[in-house]
Amino acid sequence: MAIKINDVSFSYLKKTPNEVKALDHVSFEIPKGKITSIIGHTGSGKSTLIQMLNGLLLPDSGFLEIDDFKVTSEKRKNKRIKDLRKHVSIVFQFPEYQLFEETVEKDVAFGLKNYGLKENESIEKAHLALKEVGLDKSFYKRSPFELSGGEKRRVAIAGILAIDPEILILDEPTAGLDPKGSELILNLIKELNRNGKTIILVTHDMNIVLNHSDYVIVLNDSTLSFKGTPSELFTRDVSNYSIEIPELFKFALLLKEHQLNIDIEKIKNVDDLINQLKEIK
Amino acid sequence: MKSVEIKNLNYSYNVNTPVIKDLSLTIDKGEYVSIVGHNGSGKSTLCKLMIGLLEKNSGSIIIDGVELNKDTLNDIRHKVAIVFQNPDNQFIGVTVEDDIAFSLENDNVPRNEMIPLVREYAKKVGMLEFLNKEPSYLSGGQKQRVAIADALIRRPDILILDEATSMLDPNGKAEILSLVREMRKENPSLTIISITHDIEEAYLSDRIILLNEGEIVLSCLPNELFKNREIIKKYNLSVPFIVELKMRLKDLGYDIDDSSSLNEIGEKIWQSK
Repeated sequence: MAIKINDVSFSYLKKTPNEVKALDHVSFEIPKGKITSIIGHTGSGKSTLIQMLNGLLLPDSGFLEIDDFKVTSEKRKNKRIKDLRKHVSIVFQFPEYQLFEETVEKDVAFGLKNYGLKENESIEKAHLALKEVGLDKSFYKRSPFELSGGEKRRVAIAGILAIDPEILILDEPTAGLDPKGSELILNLIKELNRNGKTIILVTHDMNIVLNHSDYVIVLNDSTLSFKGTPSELFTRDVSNYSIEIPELFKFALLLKEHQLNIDIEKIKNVDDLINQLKEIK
Repeated sequence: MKSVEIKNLNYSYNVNTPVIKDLSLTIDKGEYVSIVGHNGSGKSTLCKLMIGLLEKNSGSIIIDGVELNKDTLNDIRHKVAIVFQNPDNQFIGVTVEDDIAFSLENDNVPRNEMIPLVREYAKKVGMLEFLNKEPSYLSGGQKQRVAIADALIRRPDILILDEATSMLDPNGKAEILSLVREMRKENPSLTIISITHDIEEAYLSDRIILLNEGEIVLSCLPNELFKNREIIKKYNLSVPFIVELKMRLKDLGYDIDDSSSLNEIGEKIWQSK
């Protein structure tokens, strides 16, 4: 099973003078069981693409295959879209703005009740999801509105995890959080991936791309510009992509250029670099 | 001259959880200060107290020589402007022009004076060609630039940026930071107080104040803070890459104290090989 995007095109405001092309004959695959980052400037087509992966938008032409689901331009062929949304879930940017229930557990259980689960079953599952994101009992009855930004975000993510999707898409999951809050979210993402979930990240943060993803997809002006590993991307000329190569990686490249024995593929964070330098010294 | 003088300030949202604890702080006119600290450390509360959005329990806040109280609140709100985190929550007007004019309307500025003023401030923030645009046509960075124009057009003495770049993409962030630099060049007496988690951004300021649980832990030059490894570890601060690299290489025995760029540091490494 896999995630395949086949020659997909999409425009907003079709057949009007303001038509905007968002995706232009894009094809690629996203490997299952890995963490893949999708990057690209604002307006490059990232958001359009992720919305297609769970059928919120349909392509104008081309099609997407997500495991045994198919998303095509024809509405009547996309009968199982409700099931697809359980299979692929999106945590949108700043999901904490969508919290609304009076207690944390009710908010997390809300989605499950929509899928027809009974009250007590959905609360039970909500508790499990809250445990996954590291929020204990003491949070169950609290109002989501009195929590810190990082805690709110984790409640919102728990609401998605409660549905237990196999593929989880997160749009800018750390935006606006303090370093501690970001670290918790990134560790959670790693843990979810270790437990078998396929993760797709949309991000502007190149350190997340370097340190936390197995693969990276670059969209540029509605087309696919690159697919490969982060280190392959950062060793290329990226001047056309509006990407800032992480300073750590630049520095590692600089050392390599000066005949130091650096294994660039294995540089993900400062620890990796320091460990390699120890060997050299 | 002093721009902000805070003495023994106390505030709590409810009786059991004090948020600001006996805090005293002075900021000079024209100074650019960053306030850092994790979520819940009291940064935003402090700002809200300074513009009278929250009422202190005790202590005093003196802005430009005027003590903040019920009688002076209006004057003080003319002296202090604030730009908030979310670009979408601050746009009131139908167009950029409307939005910038809004604060002037509140001050009863006549229309013939208003029009050139709006153009002038739109130009300052690089949004002149967007005057007739609706917010849905603007990027997050552009909306925040309009919010800064809204703030500056009332000619405040103090500009507070409350995580004003944290919801922006890297381009938007760079736009705002370069605008801050320009504003300071143009008006050296403007005091800027920036609340931020972004350590590269705090690095640009004159002074960093570290808050923790409503108290000031440290107030020093950015470089001094980043050298203080105990503090950085204890308060879970991130440091700019070059600072971290230097610390780690020092542990490995490299003498890189006087190297100030990645190139210079690199040289030390490949020469020592």
